[in-house]
Amino acid sequence: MSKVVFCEDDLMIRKLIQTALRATTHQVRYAENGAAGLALIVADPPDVVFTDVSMPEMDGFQLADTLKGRADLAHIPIVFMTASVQRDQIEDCFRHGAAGHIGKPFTMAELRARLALFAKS
Amino acid sequence: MRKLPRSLRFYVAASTFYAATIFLAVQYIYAFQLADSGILVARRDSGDVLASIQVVSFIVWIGISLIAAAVMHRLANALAGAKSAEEQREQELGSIFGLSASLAGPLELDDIGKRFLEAVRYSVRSDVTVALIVHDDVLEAFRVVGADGPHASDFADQVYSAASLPAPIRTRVIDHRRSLVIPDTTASSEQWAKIAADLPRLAGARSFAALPLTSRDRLVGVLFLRGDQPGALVADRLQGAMTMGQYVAGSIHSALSVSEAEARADREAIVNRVSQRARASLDPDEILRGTVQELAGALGVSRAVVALGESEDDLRVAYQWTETDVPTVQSGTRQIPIARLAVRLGRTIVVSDTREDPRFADPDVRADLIRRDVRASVATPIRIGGYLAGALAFAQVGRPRDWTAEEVRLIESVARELRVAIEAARLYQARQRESERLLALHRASAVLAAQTQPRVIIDEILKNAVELLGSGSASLYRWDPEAGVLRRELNWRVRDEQVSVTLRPGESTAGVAFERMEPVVVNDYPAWEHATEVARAGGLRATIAVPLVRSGSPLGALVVRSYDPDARFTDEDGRLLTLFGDQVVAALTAADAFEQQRRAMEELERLNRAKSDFVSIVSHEFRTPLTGIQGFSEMMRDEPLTVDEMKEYAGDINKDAQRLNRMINEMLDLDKMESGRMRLHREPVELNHLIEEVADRVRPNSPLHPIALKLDPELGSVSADRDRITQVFTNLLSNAVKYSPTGGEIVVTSRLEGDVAHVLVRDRGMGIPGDALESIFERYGRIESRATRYIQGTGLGLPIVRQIMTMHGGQVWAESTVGEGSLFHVTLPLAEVLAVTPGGLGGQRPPNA
Repeated sequence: MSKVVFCEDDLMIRKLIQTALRATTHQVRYAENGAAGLALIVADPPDVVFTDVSMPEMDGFQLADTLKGRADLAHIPIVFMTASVQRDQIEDCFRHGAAGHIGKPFTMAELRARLALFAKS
Repeated sequence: MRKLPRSLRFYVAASTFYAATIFLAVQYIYAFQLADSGILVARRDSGDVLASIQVVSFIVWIGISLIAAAVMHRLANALAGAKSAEEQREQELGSIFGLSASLAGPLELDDIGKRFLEAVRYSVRSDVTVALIVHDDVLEAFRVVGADGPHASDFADQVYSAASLPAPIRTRVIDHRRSLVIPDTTASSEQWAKIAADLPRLAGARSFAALPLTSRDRLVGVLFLRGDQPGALVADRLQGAMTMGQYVAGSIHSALSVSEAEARADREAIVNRVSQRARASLDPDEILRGTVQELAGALGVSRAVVALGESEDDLRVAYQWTETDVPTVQSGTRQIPIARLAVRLGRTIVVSDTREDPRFADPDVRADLIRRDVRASVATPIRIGGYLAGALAFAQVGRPRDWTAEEVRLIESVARELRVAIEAARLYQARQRESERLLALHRASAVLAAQTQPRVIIDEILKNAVELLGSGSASLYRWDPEAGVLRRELNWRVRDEQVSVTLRPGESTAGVAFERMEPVVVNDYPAWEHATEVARAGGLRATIAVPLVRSGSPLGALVVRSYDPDARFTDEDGRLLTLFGDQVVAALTAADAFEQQRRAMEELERLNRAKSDFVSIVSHEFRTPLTGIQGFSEMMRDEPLTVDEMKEYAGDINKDAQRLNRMINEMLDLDKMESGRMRLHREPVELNHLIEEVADRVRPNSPLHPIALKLDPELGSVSADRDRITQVFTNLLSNAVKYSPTGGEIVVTSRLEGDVAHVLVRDRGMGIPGDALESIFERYGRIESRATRYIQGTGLGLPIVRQIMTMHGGQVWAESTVGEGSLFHVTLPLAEVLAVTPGGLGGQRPPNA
């Protein structure tokens, strides 16, 4: 069982992910922005973090930079889920230390496959 | 030679002695021989006879001797007389030969006169005064060369013009070249009265003669003889003087010819130098300078001036030379009345004494001449091909002066040479100027072609104009229609304190050129009626301005200035500057076109960027609801779900679809409004009520943002499209919520301001940077930053608000402090209410409106 944190400000998308992942055995926690996500991560470092980029208070890039700046959290892979799908925008994600990028809209199969890739079975 | 005594007593005594001696000798020899021969007898009676014979013969002998003595005396006398006449002739001849010998070789006229008079004096009685007058070509009159005798001083330095000589002398002596001899003036009193009237110094003469001196058919002079005794001068006694006169006339002729030739040679030398200088140089200043100095030196005047100009009033001093201590004249010719007179009359004017001359009787002129002590002057006009070019003027300070014909001739000759020089130089300079002008225009055109920066082009044009016109500075004034002034925009070598920054039309040269739309040339700026104090105080002397005209309307003016006191611009300069002005207009036009194009390009680029940003934003924003729609529908398709789950997910899909729809509608709305295809459905709208409704709708979605309303109860209805105004306040309030993510009170205030309803929406959000306060109302103008990136929306809210307000005749604007919040203002005109539906809404109009 792996520990996963999702950061997403859009209520509808959070609900969609929750629904899609209700059948998994992973421990999944949700936050509506980067700041809340960081709190969850610090409290219990997960195996992987999925995060949106555009969020109030702390966006995905700031969250990633914070994690990479902390020795105890720097190893956690981060996957960006973003509507920004242009090449330079995707490159921005990797520049902030992304382990992967999921473009919105995404299929459930894609979401599950990405999760499977990073989650320890 | 021993002189023979001519006394009659001497001859009588001599002949008596001779007769007695001979008689006694004969008696002795006779008596001795008689005695010897015995004839002698002692007879007394024969002795008596003999003695009486001897007495008779003695008496006869004495008589013959006396006759002989008388004859001898007569003979001796005659011989002596003949001898003395010959001697006198010899003497006269000796004088003539001596004179002619002494006249051999070149001699000064004065020397000739002196020797001649000495010789003549010797041949006449000692009381006679002689005077030689010769005809002086230079003076065109007879002048006394010398005089000798008791009354010589009466003749000293006299000059007689041919006309002033008495008629008898004039006709007989001068015209007919015959001598006039008046042995006794009282005897010929009538004739003498005429002569004495014209020659009063001769009135006391008792005897007078005037002898013509001619040489090779030319009358070279006249010999005057004056005697104090009647009969002192008679024709016979004047033969010697006349003969000497013939000898001396030739010498006088030669001497006169030599002096004339010398004078002519001097004159020609000066004229030649002038013409050589004129040929060697093309600088009129240099020619004038050299000529004037040379001529002034040759004439020994106090001042020499060359004035140039095309009319009496246009004359200006081009060059002047003055002796040390003699003040110069001003550059105008007011102080050279004679030059003006010469120009006016078109001929040489000679003034021997300005104080006596009636032509300078004008009190001001005379006072000025007296003040400057100008006593004599001469001026001649310089004409080129029938046109006046100027005048040459000379002045003598401190003393009157008789200008000789020779001097006048010299001045006129030099003026003729100068004319050629001036014209040649003028033509050369005109040509030079023409090519310089073409070159300058060419340079300006080259810059125009190579440059797109109007500043660089116009700087170059101004520089070229200044260099070409040899002036001080240049400026470009452009018309500012809003301020109604000409504004100085570009300058070349301008000192700010000398030149106005703005000018009204009609003010200074630029203003006048702009107003009249024609070139303006001013050469005495301080005296000009449209002059400005700034320029006057700045020392501006001469200036040209040309209007800058494009398609018949003036854009401004181009000004060139000179601070040189002698500067003088011509109409030709004005025409030249007009060409530069045209270049400037071309440059401005090109620059304007270039600038317009650049702006259009920038606008296009900006729009293009905004559009692609918009596409990116829209696609980004659309992806969020699409994610929900795609995800939930995928699950519904692929997963075994309960009916409740199905319904729930279908509801979620529907919400996202609506969200998508809203976004699309916003875009379409704005597009419609911008293209003018949206119609307003106006109706009376209670603004306060509408604001309350919108606030109520927003509140549930923004728990962190208390919305306070401060509404003016006086605010009544406006005529407006209810839905659109609702959209305005919804957008403003939801923006206030969106952009204050940490919460904070939102205040909506409404108030009546005259005939305008003013609504203010204040938040305590992140604020808007000053430079974005306007662009936020433009389509695709949402400020993209990390702080706002997460905010969902198409960025069309405020553009829609502005469009709606504009359609209602109202306004919307924002003010903000970054980090403290923003304040949005909305105004709606109440007048619009009455204008649109006057009948239905008249009563609802606020009383204080």
